[in-house]
Amino acid sequence: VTTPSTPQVIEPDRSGQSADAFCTALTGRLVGSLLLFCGERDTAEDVAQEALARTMERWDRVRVMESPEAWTYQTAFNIARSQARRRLVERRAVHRLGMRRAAIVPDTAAAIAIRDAVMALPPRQRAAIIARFYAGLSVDEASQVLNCAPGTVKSLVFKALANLRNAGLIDQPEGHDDAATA
Amino acid sequence: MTMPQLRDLLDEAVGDQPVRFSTLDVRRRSRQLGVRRRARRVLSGAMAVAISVGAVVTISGWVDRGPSRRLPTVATRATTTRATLPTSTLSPPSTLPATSTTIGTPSAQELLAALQSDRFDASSLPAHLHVLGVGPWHYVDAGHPGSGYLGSAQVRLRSDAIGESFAFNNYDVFGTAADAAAWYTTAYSNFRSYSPAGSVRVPRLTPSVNAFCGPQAAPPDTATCWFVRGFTTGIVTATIPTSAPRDEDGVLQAMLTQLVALGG
Repeated sequence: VTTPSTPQVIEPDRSGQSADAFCTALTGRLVGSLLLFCGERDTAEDVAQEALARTMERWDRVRVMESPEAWTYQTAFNIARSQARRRLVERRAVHRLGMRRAAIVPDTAAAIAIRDAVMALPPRQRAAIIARFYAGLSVDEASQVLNCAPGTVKSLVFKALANLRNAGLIDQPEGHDDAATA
Repeated sequence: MTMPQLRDLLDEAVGDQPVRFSTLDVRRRSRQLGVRRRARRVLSGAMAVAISVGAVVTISGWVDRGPSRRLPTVATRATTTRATLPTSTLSPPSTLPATSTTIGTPSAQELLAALQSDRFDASSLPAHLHVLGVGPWHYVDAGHPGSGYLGSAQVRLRSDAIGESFAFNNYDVFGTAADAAAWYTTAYSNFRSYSPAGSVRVPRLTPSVNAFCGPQAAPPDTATCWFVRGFTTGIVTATIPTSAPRDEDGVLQAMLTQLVALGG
């Protein structure tokens, strides 16, 4: 039996936790989630920084929430969605001018292929997969991020997994897989 | 195996590149956000104060006139507001503050009432167009600076033709035909260049409406009252004798007289 690897989850021990510590702990996973969601590292870092800045600015209110992580992720995904159109225009302009953004470290072919497969998912399915399996949020937290019912999150994850299987990214299930509904 | 595999795949897709900003950057950005939010609060507070002062001035003006005099429906002198900026002007929204003065006289009231009758439908308006009403007269100081603009009146039209839509249409009055033509050319150019897709649509027009709304030459020695249809290129001119008074009341009265005459 394979033990599922545990994603990096921030424990909700926020008594006396500072905004700085919260942001520092969340930054890596948030940027990664947004990279998977947006497909561009520059955009992901910019959106993550904006979301963390908003969290920091409202820390007195955010810290007492049931899940500050979910609130931050929700803010980040909202910003990413609202900026999508502007980014599209920007990308077209960059393309038109023949400019290319250079990555700091070249991505591996596998990483690019996986990101492409995730990017091919519809936005809500993509967000659900990222929230559940990369950010490590619970179904309830993911439902807050996506602003929908927990049942909808399960449904979105189920459909996303089916799409990823069809794309050949993950294996076909051998038996009943309850991870999606866990 | 599927879920751990997916998590590993996602980890691999993200890679282990370091994040290129620090908590210090986040804190700096958060401070900027705070400053912006406070500025917005101050601005909205100032706006609320300005609106309150405007309301107090209006009410006190009404009180000063005494209960024996009825407040005219349209007449309110020197009311400063942005809301009365003509909606049909084809230029993009101006960032200049607009000061408008709503003016009314008893004779203008009668003319406005006359305009709201069906008589307008008997004019050269196509049969499927109906005048629903005429709004108050506005003089917008900063609406078209330096263009010879004198003022506007709003006319609501309804069309029976499917696909033909009219909202609020303004009669914009200019001192001379040349002024109006120059302004219209600029506005049309701006409209073509900056019209936001999706929020502005050019209605399909029947040939009869096109004929009605087509530019018409103004006779010499007349001030020109331009009927500018919202969203489109249509202009109808009515003319005001140059002997008519050039103050705002006079222009309004002359213009409405002309419109009533146009209505038969």
